[in-house]
Amino acid sequence: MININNLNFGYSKHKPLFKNMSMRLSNGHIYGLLGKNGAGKSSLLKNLAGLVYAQSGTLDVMGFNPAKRQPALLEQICFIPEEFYLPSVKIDAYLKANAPFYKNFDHQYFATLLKEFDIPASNKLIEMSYGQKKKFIIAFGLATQAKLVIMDEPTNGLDIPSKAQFRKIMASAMTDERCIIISTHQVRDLDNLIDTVIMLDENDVALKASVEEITAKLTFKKVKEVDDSIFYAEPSLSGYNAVMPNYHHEESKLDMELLFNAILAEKIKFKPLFS
Amino acid sequence: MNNTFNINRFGLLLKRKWLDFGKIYLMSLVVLTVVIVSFYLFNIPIVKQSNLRWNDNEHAQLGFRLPTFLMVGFLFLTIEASTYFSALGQKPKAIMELMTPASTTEKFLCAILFTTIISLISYLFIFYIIDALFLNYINELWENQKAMNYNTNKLSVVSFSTLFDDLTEDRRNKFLFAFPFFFSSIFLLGSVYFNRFHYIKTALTATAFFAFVIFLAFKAAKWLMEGKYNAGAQEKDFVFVILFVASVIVTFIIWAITHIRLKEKEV
Repeated sequence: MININNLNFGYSKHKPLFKNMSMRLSNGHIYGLLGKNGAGKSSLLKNLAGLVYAQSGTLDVMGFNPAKRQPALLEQICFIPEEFYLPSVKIDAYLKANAPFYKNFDHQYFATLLKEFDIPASNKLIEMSYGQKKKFIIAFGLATQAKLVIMDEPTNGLDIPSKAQFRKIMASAMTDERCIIISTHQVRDLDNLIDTVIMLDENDVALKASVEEITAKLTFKKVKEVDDSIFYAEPSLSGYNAVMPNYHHEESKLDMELLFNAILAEKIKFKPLFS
Repeated sequence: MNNTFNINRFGLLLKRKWLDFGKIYLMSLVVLTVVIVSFYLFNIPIVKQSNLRWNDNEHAQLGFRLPTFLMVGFLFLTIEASTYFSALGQKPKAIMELMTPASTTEKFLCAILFTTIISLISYLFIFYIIDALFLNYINELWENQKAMNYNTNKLSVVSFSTLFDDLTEDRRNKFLFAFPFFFSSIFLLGSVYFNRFHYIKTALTATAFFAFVIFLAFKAAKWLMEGKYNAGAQEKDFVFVILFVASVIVTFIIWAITHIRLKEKEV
């Protein structure tokens, strides 16, 4: 679905954001894109959507170069930005103006999503709260039946019930033909939803591994004391939350926040496991 | 799927743009109408006014009309052009615009249609209607009144000239036909190029650039022609032809640059 080869990108020539980044993303997956502030999560998503241009390297999205912004590709991309704009029109008018651009737009599904998100269909977009607007664009984006769904901080501004609805809807929206990429800081919001973790750090991909692979190679557990076998540990009320190699094939639940901090702090220790 | 131009997609784009831009556009037409009507109301010629200007067809002229037509027209066309792509300067709006599944060519042609063709036609239409109604009114007001025509030194029945008379009075005016397209193209480019304060930045940049070009052209002409040549009427016409051709060519060049800038626009 997506091939990134030796991507070099930056907002100024002296401050590169990505240096020779290469990655391959396939359909049928929900990727969680993680990284510190300024690591380039949003910029990577914008590169994929053709909103910014790489300095060098190649980007192939479903056989297209996104920088060319060809309609055939644009109608297959659902991009939900962190900051968005909706015009001062009613939902009906918005649909009439925008839905016809997407030839697979599913009106029935859109109505179902609005119902699930509890958004009254007669509302004027400008009068909605930020959370409602966000749910509206998510519903519209998913109803386009786009094959590539890119979401930048989609759970920001959503209340607790809406986050649960969001997870449920995203899980049901996943098909074998679709590739979903979600960038977030709220890693707990995406627990149980993403199947592959991509972590950006120091101008490159620090980690790209499926949840299955991570839990097969690492174990996350609470320990009383820290020893040499532990890659990384954080103090908690009852001892330490630790990440360590999974030598004994133990089953554990991925703690994404812990993994994130562990990779940033002890990148060298993890490298041999995920090379 | 044709990724450069598709008539259905272009139609959808026009419809979408109208839903977004239409309300503001109609409001701007209302403002335009109020401005033109105000100019006319402040300039109604008083009956028995003796200092009327007459044209060659023995029609009394409305001196304020042509400057009003040109000035308001310039402002209307340039403001419309300058606001068209202004959304690209705001990140959330720019994302929505650029991610709309239509080609850059379609988006560009839509801009030309709205800012140049529709704006020009609606401006001419509104001005013509107001002028026709106004002429009807003042011709009734001046019915059977006579005034001295200083061109013929005779007392003539007062009948006011139309906008068309004013525009065609000097045959060289036709060479200025491309100017609305030219000015509109400059401000459309400015709306893509600048992220904020599009109008003022475009006006300043264009003024500085063209002042420099005109200064160079004058200097070059003076250096080449001084003392060697005295232009006659025919040569002056030739200069106007050059002005017309240059304005057409430069307009197309600016449109081409706008298309490229739109293609290269990043968020």
